[in-house]
Amino acid sequence: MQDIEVGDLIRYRLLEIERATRRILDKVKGTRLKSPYEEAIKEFLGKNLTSLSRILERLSKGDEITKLKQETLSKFVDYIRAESDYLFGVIEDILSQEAAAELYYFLDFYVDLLVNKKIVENSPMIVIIKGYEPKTYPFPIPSLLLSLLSPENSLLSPNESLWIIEVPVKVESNIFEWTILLHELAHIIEDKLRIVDSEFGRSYKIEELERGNVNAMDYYHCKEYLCDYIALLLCGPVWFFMLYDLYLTPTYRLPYTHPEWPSRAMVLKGRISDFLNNIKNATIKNTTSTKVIERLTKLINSIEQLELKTVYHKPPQLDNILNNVENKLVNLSFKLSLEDLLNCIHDLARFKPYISKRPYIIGKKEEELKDEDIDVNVIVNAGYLIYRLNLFDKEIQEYFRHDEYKMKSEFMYLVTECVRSARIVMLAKQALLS
Amino acid sequence: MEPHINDLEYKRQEMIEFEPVYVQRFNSYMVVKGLLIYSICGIDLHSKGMRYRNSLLIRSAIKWLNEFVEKRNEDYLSMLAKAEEGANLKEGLLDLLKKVLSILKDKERCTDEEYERIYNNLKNLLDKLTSLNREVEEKILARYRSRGSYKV
Repeated sequence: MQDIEVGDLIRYRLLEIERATRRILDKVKGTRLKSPYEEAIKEFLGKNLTSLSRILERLSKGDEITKLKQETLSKFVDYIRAESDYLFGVIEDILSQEAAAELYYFLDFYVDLLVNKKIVENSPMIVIIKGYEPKTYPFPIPSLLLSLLSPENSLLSPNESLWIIEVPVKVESNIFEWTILLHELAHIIEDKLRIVDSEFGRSYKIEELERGNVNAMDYYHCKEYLCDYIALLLCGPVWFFMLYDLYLTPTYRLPYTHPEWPSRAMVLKGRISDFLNNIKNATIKNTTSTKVIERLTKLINSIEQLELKTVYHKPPQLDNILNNVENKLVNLSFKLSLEDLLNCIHDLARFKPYISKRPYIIGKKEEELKDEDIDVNVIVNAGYLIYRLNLFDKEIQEYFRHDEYKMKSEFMYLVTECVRSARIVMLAKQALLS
Repeated sequence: MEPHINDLEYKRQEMIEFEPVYVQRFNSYMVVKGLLIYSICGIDLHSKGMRYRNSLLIRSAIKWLNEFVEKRNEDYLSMLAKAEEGANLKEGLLDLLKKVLSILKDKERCTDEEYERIYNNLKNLLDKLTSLNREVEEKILARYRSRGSYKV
């Protein structure tokens, strides 16, 4: 008598999870995502949820559940519950906490760049959600539940994956923090290229770091240094300056897997010393630009002072890893001329939208696309420096003299719009050239 | 040494958060746990006369065991090995999984005592695995369970 009651209860439990699965499936179908991969993501989620729903239905209708020992049954149901809670939780986050569409305009520019330069084969499926700390992790595929319905899909290495990038709410509304998305994107690239794993000859588990294994610490730190470097290659010095600012105003809690901010800034400094020296040694006749160079030099000098204060443990494998990635991503390296940067600063500081002055040269596709790559970078770097070094035009500052906050907000809108326009122009040019 | 890592005697409570490395560990744990749960269900049902032709759970266990035995993913095996005590951990575990697979595929006959012994071995492994990863499981699921939705 007691066995029959428990069996029925278990069926009921499974049916409840199955019903929740269908409810979330309906929600997936009815929710508009901002991600440019919306269709693919919804199809992916739908496939997972449908498989889960079918298996739960079949299990709850069959009699094998009732034949299991009670202790087996309790372990089985506990497992299904844990897996479904996790799966539903992540899907709920995707559906209800997705970040603003503008973040995708920005990120997608760089994803396209990676695909165009053949660094990755296809655009990874990415969804950006609002959370507490920046982080990136793969969507948990309920592989064991898919196993029976998709025998071709490997459980241990699933064919497709959806990446979730989590960023704090404040990032969404501040374009100058969007570069952090590129560090997160780099983690996805790193996962595909496995550069750190191949240098170390193996991967290290977090438990090894917890036990105090220095190699494990180096391994995790190298991953972070590498992702910083990829972000730098993608967007230019703005990421380097950002790291310095994150050190000055410690905004994020750094887990043990990450090196300290000054060490990270120091590693990048070594990689863009040519660009920084060019700035410091620039001879500009224009008075406005001279002021910009002076302030920029002051910032660079302050960062260089950091070197003296930093107790920096450099993983022995780091140079090889960064040189290796430099060779692999040679086509990617940011191209930011000082002239373009100063022109853009000149326009944006006067609240004038920046438009590339480069001509369209249909027929010289290769050359044309290389030129287009830089537009968004010029805008983001110039915008950040104006904001950070207070390079606003005197008349603009005078106009907003009673409301500096409004001036900075308007400026962020302006830069966001310029990035968006640059992206659209780039797409239009690509379409014309295709 | 970095200022925040110079004391490598880390404080466990501070370490375990919803960090990608722990999400990764949790995902691996769920895969290994799935293998054991389905193997336990499979052996339990097989001992009661059910066969893979008429059992979804036995077929699922076979699928899992096939992949584990054939692909021999070292990360998963290491995680499983931590839940075992004794010499030749990985080989011993692989032998156990191969034996379970062979039984579920009806390639090997088994006495009641053997069923019981294998069942207990798997159950002990599962209990140890669960206890080793309890903290990670609780922390990761807390993010979702504390909202109170879809709790069944």
